[in-house]
Amino acid sequence: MKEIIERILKPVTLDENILFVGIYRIDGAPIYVHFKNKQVISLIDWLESQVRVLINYIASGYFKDAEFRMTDSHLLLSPISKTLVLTMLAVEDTSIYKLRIDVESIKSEFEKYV
Amino acid sequence: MFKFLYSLYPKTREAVQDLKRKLEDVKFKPSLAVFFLTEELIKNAEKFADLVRCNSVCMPIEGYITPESIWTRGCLALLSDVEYRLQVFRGTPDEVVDKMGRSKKGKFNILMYPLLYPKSRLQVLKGMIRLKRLYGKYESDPEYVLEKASEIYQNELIYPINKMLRPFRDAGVDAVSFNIFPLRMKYGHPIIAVNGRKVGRGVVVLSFRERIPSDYTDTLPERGRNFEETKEIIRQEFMIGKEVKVEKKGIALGHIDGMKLSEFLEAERITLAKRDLSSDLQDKKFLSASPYALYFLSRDTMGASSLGLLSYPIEIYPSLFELDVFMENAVFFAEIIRGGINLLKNYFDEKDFNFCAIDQNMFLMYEEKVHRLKDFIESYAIFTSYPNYTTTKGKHMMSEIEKKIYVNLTRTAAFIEWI
Repeated sequence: MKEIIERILKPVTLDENILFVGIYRIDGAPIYVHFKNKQVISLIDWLESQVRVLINYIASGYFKDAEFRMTDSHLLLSPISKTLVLTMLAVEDTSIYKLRIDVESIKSEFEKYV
Repeated sequence: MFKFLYSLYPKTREAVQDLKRKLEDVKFKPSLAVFFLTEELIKNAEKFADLVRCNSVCMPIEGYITPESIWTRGCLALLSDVEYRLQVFRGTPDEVVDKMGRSKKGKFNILMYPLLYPKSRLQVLKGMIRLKRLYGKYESDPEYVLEKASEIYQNELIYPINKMLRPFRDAGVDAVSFNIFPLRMKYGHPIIAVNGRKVGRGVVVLSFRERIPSDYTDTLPERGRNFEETKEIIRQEFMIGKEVKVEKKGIALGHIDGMKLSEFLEAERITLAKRDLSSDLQDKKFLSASPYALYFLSRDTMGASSLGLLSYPIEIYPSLFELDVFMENAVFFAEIIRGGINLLKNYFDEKDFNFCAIDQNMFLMYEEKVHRLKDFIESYAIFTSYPNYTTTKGKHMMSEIEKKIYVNLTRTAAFIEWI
């Protein structure tokens, strides 16, 4: 499973502008994380609680996905199945509209396996 | 024969290795390789050229479609054993058009060139100062000022699209124009490379001996039979739809309704850019798209073509196509596609081609919804800056602005059937 996730996520994990890529379970537990510097570790904890809330909203049909604009970065959370959420932290200069397009492609790749 | 290969990797080393593996499965000896490279990869065009033992052309794209999905990172490569001639023409638009006019053309041709090429900050600043000084004489002699400004823009920066297509129209052959203008621009870009060598400001022409089937759509209703009908169609299609009077010559656009562009936009309550143009080009913050534009109406055909209005405080605004064939009245509008992305289905469904080039503005218009294009595009495709076209076949399209020359700066798509 780890190899499949790594292969599917490689187009984004190789990107220098994407600081963090993670897959979280419905209960907020991370099942895969890839980060480029230690500064994002504190974010991983914070994400666990955010993902729990997000999944609730998605399950109840209020949210399709979520984005947070930080001071110098942009965080995207997007469900890839009923139980898994893909998260990405991109630097401010990243083309977010392009990243959203690639996230959709990654999601459709995951759909083949989940 | 032809084959498409692609790699999803945004780093040159990984993408090259990936393509190298995939190239081993190609069963024919290609005579031509075209690498469509996304943002980061185009800087290392020579690494891709080294992958093949034939002529190669590298051009930047914003994204691409594979039979499986849509991506904005990595690259798409076309390999073909077709017979062709590869030529590079350098110089001002007049010089290039003259050389292309005298050159041997194929029955089908592809042009690849930087639509706008800001070589350096110094060059842009010099040009802006010359234009500012020139504008000082605008009140007394607008015609002279616009003519000189058009010369500056053409000699330093812009290859006007309709001008580039004329030698091919006049020779009675088909040509697709990849007039490259990336969404995010900076100095020394866009990069086009032939056999790994950067062309700089120049036009690459691939001329194919055989007539390779091609087509084009501007995804707009057909033009009207007279100006009033065409204007009404534009008003129906877009928001605002206000008729304005424009002062223009060559590719220079002067006053709109008697105002400088910045004053006109302010009067329309449109916020102006707070940063200056040269800094945005330096920091790659120059976005080459705008939701506000002018639709110019062609005297020759009753067709129309739009020019996006970027909100930089420039006194004489540059057009990306020559404006002399157009009326003095234009329609100011805001871009909106009624009916969403599904509207495009009608225009794409009837086209059965194995490759297409789609306007990159679709990314900005639809963002992740652009994935719905996969419902009706099964072939390989690239997202690039609004491809344009000339053909011997008659088409009653809105974007036919000169006889058999089809130009628009938004929503266009070109189709090619590689054989």
